[in-house]
Amino acid sequence: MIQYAFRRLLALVPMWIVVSLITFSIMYLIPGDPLVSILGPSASPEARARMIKSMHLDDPFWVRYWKWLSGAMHGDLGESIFLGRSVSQAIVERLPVTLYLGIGALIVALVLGLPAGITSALKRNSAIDTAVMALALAGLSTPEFLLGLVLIYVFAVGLGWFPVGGYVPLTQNLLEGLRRLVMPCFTLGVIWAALVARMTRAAMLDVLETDYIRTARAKGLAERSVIWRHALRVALIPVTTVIGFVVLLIVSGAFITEIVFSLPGMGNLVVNSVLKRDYPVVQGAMLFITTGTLLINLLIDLLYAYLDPRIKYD
Amino acid sequence: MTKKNTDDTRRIWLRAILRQRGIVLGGTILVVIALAALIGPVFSPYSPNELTSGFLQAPSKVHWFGTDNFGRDVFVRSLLGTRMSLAIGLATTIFSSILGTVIGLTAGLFRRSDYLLMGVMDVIMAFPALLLAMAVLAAMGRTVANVIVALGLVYTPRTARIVRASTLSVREETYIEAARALGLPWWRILLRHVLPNVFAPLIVQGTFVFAYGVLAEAGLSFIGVGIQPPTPSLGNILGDARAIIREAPWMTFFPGGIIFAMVMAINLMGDGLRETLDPRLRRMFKGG
Repeated sequence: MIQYAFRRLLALVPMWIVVSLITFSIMYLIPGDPLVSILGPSASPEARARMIKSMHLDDPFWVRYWKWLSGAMHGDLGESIFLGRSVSQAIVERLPVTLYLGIGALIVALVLGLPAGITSALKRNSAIDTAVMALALAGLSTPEFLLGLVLIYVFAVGLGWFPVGGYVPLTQNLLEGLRRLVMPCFTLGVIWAALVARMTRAAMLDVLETDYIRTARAKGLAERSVIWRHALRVALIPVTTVIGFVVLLIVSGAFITEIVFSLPGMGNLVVNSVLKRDYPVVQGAMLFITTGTLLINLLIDLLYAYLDPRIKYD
Repeated sequence: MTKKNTDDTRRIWLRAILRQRGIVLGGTILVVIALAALIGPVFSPYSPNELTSGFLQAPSKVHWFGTDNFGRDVFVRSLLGTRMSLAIGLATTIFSSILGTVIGLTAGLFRRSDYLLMGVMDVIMAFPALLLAMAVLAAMGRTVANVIVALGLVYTPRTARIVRASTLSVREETYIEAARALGLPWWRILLRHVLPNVFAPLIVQGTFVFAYGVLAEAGLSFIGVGIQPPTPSLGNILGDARAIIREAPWMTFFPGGIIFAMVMAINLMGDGLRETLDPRLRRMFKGG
């Protein structure tokens, strides 16, 4: 297993290098002079010269790429053009918000999705099954921003239970901080609960039709034991890969949810940097997020291999 | 296969498709929305960017979906936004289906290119979809064509993987071996024998890309990275609605309802098609 994990980690290295190359070069596709889009068309020659020097724009592409990559490996992703601080510092400041949002959303997705999927499979073709699957389909068809706006309208504007948006650090005021995270976490989580429910139902139905479950029933085991001790443990294995997928989707969804609820997280940082053309931040944040998702994927694969002994490590 | 056999198979398939309530219901909803988006604006007395007499007017007989903060008619803007969403979703599907099919077939048939092509696809899939689309749009500029290219690129790897997997299983079949033994050229084997067999999973994947495309375009436009105002898109209408949800909830509920109905209809069709085109079910129909 350790050898397998090491081999998978090694395989990530070339992929990460290509990802970093794409991330770095994508900003060079911009038509026209990048300095005009950063400084404006009426920038003085001195300002242009300063910017060229600070961004190393007079170096050849590969030199710039290598400088950026070696800096990134030491945690230096360059300086933001508009934020007045380093990209790494901006990321460190914004990351906790996105982490809280992601963890909260994942909890909501699992707490709602797993029981819904299991119940649906056990009551196959019943009214409950139909209702759960209809709700799951509705969940998958709802964009995060729409659900977020509806929740704001009902629970913030209408009932006044939660604030419309904004963020309070949990270290500053735990209760108020959590209160402000409820609607964003629910917005992201409830949509992906739909996916978890569908996958859990499908996996559970597959397992319930296997021979060993038939044998367990034939030898007179109580139905509860058959389901909880035999079926569920195996059915949850493929669901771990879905959780990995949901984590990726939550990363994407966090961009939009953070904008809806004015949360100062990574998504908000990237969107604002894209709109302002703050390229060092876009590049740095892209590399950081993609590295994170590659590592999460690896962890999920390893967990899957650990949970299912049938998976061949070679 | 004789002509009669082909006609019989088609009839069986058509009956199977029509028997799926999801496909019929989803298809009907989608056709109604598409027709409204195509024909509706023609009959509306307002143009999408026309400033009418009152701003933030609630829905009424004059303005069915109310007016926005500039006094523009939300109904006609929503219909034009729907047209834009459908066009972008469809174009994204076509773009990623063609590119994904070419890449998937090449990787599946020519083993030497497999490692490289699938490696590139894996790299693209390593980026969160919306992040990559945003970066491409930041680099190439925020135009309608670039939104299609960005989303098409993002969803190509998933299609390529599915086509490759189908191609790999088809290439081992005896009839492909027979076609090779008969000395048929590779392009003829590809077009006559391989492509029709990867068509079913491609169609199912296409419906999901269509749904993702509509959702992603709306999301990008909502955060201001996609379709730029004053060109209406359901996403940018909702983006404008966010700041004035207290004063004008109709700006959220009507366009939002259209996106929801549209994506739900596409997903219903996708689920129905998947069930109909599933090989196990196909075997069942053929045996019957």
